[in-house]
Amino acid sequence: MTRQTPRSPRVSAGETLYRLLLFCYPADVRKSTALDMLEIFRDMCSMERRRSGAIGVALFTIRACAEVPGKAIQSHWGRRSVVRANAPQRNSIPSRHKFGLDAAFMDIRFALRSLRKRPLFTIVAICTLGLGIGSATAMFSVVDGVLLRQLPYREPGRLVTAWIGYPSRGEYVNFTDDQYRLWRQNSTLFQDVAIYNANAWGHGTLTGSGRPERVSLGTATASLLPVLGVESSIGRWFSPDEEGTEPGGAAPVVVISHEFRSRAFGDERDVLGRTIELDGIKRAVIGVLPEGFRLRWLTKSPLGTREIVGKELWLPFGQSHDCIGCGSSMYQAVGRLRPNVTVEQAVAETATVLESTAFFDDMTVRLVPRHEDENRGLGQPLVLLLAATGLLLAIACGNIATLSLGELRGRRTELATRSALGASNSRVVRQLLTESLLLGIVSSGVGVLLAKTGTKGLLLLAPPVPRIDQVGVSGTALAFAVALGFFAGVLFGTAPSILAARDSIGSALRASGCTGTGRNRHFQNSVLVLEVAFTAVLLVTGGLLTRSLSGLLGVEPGFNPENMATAHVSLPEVRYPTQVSQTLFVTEVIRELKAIPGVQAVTAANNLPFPGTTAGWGVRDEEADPNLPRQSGKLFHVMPGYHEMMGIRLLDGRTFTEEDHLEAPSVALVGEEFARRLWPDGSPIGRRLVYPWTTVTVVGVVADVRRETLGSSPEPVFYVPFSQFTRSDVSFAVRTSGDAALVLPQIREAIWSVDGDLAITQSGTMASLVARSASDERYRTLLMSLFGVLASALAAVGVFGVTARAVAHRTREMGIRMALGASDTGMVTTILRGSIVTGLIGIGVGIFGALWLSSGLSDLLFEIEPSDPVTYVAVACVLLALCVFSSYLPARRIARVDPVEVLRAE
Amino acid sequence: MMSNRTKSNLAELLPLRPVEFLVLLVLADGERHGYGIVQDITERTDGTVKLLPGNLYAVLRRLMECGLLVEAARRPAADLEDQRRRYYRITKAGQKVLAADAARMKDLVQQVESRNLLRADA
Repeated sequence: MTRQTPRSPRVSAGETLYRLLLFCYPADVRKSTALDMLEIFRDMCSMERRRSGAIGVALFTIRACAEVPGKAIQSHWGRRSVVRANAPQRNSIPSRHKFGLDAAFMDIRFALRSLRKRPLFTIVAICTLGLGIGSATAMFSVVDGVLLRQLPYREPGRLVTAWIGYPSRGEYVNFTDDQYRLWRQNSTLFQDVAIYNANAWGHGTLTGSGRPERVSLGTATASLLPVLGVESSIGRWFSPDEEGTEPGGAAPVVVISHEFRSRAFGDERDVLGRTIELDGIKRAVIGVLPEGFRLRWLTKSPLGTREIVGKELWLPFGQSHDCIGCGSSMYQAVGRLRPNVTVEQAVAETATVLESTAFFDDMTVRLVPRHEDENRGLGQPLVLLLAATGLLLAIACGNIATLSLGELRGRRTELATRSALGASNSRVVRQLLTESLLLGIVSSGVGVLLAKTGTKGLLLLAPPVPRIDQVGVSGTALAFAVALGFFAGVLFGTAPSILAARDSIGSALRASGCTGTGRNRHFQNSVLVLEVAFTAVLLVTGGLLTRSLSGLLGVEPGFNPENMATAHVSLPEVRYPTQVSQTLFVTEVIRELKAIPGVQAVTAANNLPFPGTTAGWGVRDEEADPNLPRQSGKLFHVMPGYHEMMGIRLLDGRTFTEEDHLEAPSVALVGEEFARRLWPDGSPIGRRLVYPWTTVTVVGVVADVRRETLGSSPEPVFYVPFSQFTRSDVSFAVRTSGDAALVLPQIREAIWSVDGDLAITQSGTMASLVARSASDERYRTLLMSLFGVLASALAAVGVFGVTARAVAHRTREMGIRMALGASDTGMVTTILRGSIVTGLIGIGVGIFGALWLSSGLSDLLFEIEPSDPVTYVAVACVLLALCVFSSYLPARRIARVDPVEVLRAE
Repeated sequence: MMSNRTKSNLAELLPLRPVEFLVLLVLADGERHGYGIVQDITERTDGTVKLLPGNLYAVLRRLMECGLLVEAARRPAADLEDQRRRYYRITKAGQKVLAADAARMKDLVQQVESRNLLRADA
């Protein structure tokens, strides 16, 4: 065994695998022949290497390793089958029946007959396994569709998303247009780069054909589609000369999405050259994007926590809202690396190129592979849910394994008789495995059917995530289901077959299958321990997520969302070009809204909390050094009375009044967090605040508000009066005396009564927007809790089954004990003790495992520790109660045993 | 175990499986270790039968259980490497079973020949 012959790494790895596989043999066989087998394995590897090289060695290794499990099972069986050794017809079966397709068909036919004779077992096994395989396949379909499938770009591996970072401030920002130009001109490691602006608030109003319609739009440079490697399905993308060099200087052209084309133009083929009127400007359609084209941009949307950016219209860079040369980091950047260029090399070069544009000294560049960027925040929850379904399937397999063992015990007489009549060991073992595999394969069929329904359910409940609309039970998922069925069949079939083989068939014939062996009980208890442990892990995870969600939903948002309805409009600059016209519109709409019966109060702002997305600005105290870094703050334009109506507390100073009009001195209110950061030592009241285009005086401090999600930390914000600084985006908030949802139609009519050409969006109740902001959390909590409940049910069935068999096999013993004077209670306690001890061990193992694994959950938990003792104690108590209850039901049968009957049977 | 086997007991072991027959045939020429058996069988069958270690030891164990071969006590001293290996030797019973199976096959072959079914191109 210590021979030092040179071996290729493949042989060494193969040897290790072979050596491990030899542990499948019974201990005594292993001791006597394992070294010899390993020696022959090495010799044959050397021979194959001389003859066929590394490929020959690899093929031989695969064949040799594949041979071991079957031989080991035969070996386990053969050691005990004394009857078989004397079988008169041992070798009389013609060899063509022993091997090949004939034998396989015989096995399958026999397995079908055998399973048909045991309908209850068959149905339970198929349903249990089908449930496990179905849930795992449904979850795999989602993971496959969202995470594993390649992005619909050419060579997506070379695409990267870029950010500029300032680590000392913990900030990562997008590119300015100047940075983009510098990057594009000087980069040598990128094939090309592009920027685009696809922020959630990029919308326009389509007019000129019936009811005005609000459409999403993005702007992009001409290089975007070439960088992504996507081509228009009809027409073309923008050319560089259609970009504008100043705001509003771009050519009046538009590229439309496939979906918009279908909606706006129906089946018309000839859409090129058609004009659409967007925000009062006529634009010519020059191209149509391919179906399903979308760029993901992580953001908070009004109807969920994440929006998939499938912009309907794309305009060339250089629109009136584009910030050209103003230094605003508002453009998402994407680049295509040249072949064989690493991300590290590209980062170094880009940092050097952009060094001169740094706002601060510690500028870094961050390049993230596009696939990773588009799946950001999705991987962990999805993999967690997939792992949970894996545990569920393992529990199902455990259940069927213990069930199979019980069945095989009942079939020992049958198996012994078959063996005595001449069936070889391998034939019997193969027969048992065929039954298991058949069950596994049929279960995978049931699983696929369940997965089809389950996937639809998952999609129905799912929060908006990228490519979710493309998720379905694909060919990969079908292969996954079949593989799971095969794997499950082997998993739950092998161990019981070996254990059944280990039982003495001779004793089986004598004892008529009335006794169980310690080894079988040990196996059943081990499986039960694992089942309970896996269930504990799932319940702990579900429990932690539930407590986290409960904590999240209990967070005070900082304002009163009850009985509040909202609606949002964008005022086209063509028709509302001045502050006066915009203020007049808002004032008129507020008057109309107040006239609606049941409305108590109305206010308006450029944006309301949830989603609360708005632009951030760099601001400073007027007296501070202008060269020092500015404080970033989000700016909200609000009407007088906004804070009172929203229920936001005033902490210092005053709120806005009607006196803060256009001619009055410019004033501002600041949020608590903003004040703490900019003036940590003094009152902000009366301080002068400088932001890019003006200076305002702080007149009050208000409490912070959760804006994007309930779990988000309060951000630094400041408010200015709408009348002094108007915006074209206006959100109206209406407080009602009753159900806010009832006045939504009247709100829309009120707005249209002032301007019938405005598209209204985000029309809903504030309470529903707040609730929907936690849709991600609610989704994963719901699924995880569902898996936990299913696992508990399966574990309970497992405990019930094992206890019931223990009762059945100990009936004789208990009958004798009762005849000798033992009490019913004592008997039941004895049975219960075994199950409870097993359950306790399982709970212990599960709690320990959950503690170990839960550290990976910390990112998904809100204000709760992964080691939260309340959850662990609750799960332990629930599982213990479950074990006691499911073992008590069969255990109480022992009390009904009639000792006289038992002794008479003896 | 085998010493107690009667002639009728031995007859119960027939017909031998092809691999069992080949192993006994190789060992009839003298003691061999496992790899030696594999090599001999490969040569004798022109490479059509290639035993894998698991199958070889399953056959060896089965034949030993039936008393048709035993592990040889002595080792050839010429090759130090070979001293570590287990050697196997055919027993008298093994020789009898091998001969009986060969006779059975010979009888079968004769029956085929008598019907003129064995042709040169077959």
